[in-house]
Amino acid sequence: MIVQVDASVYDEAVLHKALYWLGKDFISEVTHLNGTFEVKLTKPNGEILTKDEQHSTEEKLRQSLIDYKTRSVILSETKNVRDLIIMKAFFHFSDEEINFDELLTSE
Amino acid sequence: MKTTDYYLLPFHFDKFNDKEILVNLFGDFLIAEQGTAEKTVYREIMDESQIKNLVSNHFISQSKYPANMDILATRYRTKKSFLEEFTALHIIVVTLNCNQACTYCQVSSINSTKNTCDINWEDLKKSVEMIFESPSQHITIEFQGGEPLLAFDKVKSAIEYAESLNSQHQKNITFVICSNAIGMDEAKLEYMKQHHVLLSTSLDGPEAIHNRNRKFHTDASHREVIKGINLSKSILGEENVSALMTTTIHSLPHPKEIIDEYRKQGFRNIFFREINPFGYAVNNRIADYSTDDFIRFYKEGFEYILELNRAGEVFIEDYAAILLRKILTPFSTGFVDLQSPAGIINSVLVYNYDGYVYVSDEARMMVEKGDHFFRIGHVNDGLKKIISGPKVAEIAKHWSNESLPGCSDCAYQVYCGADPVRNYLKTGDMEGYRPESEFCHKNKTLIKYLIEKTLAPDNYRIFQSWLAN
Repeated sequence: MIVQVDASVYDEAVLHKALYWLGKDFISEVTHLNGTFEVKLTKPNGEILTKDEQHSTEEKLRQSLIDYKTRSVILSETKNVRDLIIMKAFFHFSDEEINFDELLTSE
Repeated sequence: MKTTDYYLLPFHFDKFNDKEILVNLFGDFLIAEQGTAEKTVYREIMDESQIKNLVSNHFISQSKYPANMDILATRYRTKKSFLEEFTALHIIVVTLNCNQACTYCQVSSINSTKNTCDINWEDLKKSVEMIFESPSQHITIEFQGGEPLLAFDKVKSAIEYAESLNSQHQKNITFVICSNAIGMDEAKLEYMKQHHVLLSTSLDGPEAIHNRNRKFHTDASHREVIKGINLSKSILGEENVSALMTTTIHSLPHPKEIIDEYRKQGFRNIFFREINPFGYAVNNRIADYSTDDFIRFYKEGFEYILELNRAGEVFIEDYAAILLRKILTPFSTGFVDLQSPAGIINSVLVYNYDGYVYVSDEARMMVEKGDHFFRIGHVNDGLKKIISGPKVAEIAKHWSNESLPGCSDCAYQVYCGADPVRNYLKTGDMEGYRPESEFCHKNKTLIKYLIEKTLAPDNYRIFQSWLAN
């Protein structure tokens, strides 16, 4: 089966994260053509998918793309605050002095 | 504050039955309507009370950098507090000799008539010295085998040498002997009592199950371990004797009978432990069951344990208690299988009978199959050289679930752990493959199951009593 994914909506990292969890059941091939990812999914044993299986697989992939895109937004929006929390949590193990006020105002 | 005027804090989410679960960096969770994470991210939440709920539970913040950042950093550090002191659990394999032939033995023990596989004094001495190199103020030295009682002179030498070194180091040391309790006698127990040594033994359930799993030269394996447990309790005290069970294919239909056997022997807890599907366990087909089979066994036993607690009897399932401590409290646990960075090296080291140092029990088992991948050095090398060596640096690239494929976005990451050894054994590389990982499937299923259980107030009260225990 082939699924078209709009590359202007989902980046390659999001697509591969979504495909990772389908890897148990499918071999996936991804081609990037004219702003679209063409995803070819085949069963490892070459078995042909029924219409219902194709429908449920596409539905699963599309929901997964939405979820991984949401996760990627959380990750990018929270990267700095996450780094600062972790630095603050462990800075007393460091030999270096860290000026957190400076780090906060430099953002 | 306008409902759309907020900043995200780090969190993960997952589908949770017909709802959604959001889990933040510190282990707080929130069960909400499906789509809540997406709406939160795209500022589509219009309900002010929901915004307040997300703020107070640290999923979003009113300012770019939350005013209580120091508190959040402390909470994060508390969740990772197992890292603060470095390796605390040190396992010395004093001998490979054993007087049993357990069907699931993963360490390739050998018949007790041979005595070529005892640790020699030089390696034992160096092992103890290396243990004291660990910066941890709290040290547990665990003696394993084979059967350590068959090399009790080595155990005694190690204890006495550790005690002599400790007069200078002043660490808090706990000694544990992991023994099948066959061959336990009053003299050994008096020595253990005098030196504050705990006993950890194995009890797989009622006689029929225990004898089938843990073979002895007669059919008296269960009788002997019960005799050993009773004698040990009478001399060491009940609180200093514990037992572990291993789930084999023979255990699966009998979770209640196994729990009742533990109750009959006076234990107030049980650890439902899945078999390690390696070594002899595979050859003997005793591990021939799926993770779903184990989960069914676990849930049936757990429901029975909840019934006992509801009826007023405090009885704890230890794996649940470990997970619940991570889910319901700000704290971490010392349980090495559920840590990230992984428990191997950071929390446990194994000193084998031949003087080589391994990262875990499973790692030393691999050696008997000719695979030395997780051998990280020799006791002659010293701790500093070993842990700063290239092998440990390589392992460290794969020991945090925060950076592993399939784990890095997982909602349950903060409650779970990374296990490079198990990954290597299953897939041939330390990264592993989550869609087919039994470790992932088991833990994700049990974590979701336990979170669901906490939502019922009567269960919640039971769990709080376990955590206070």
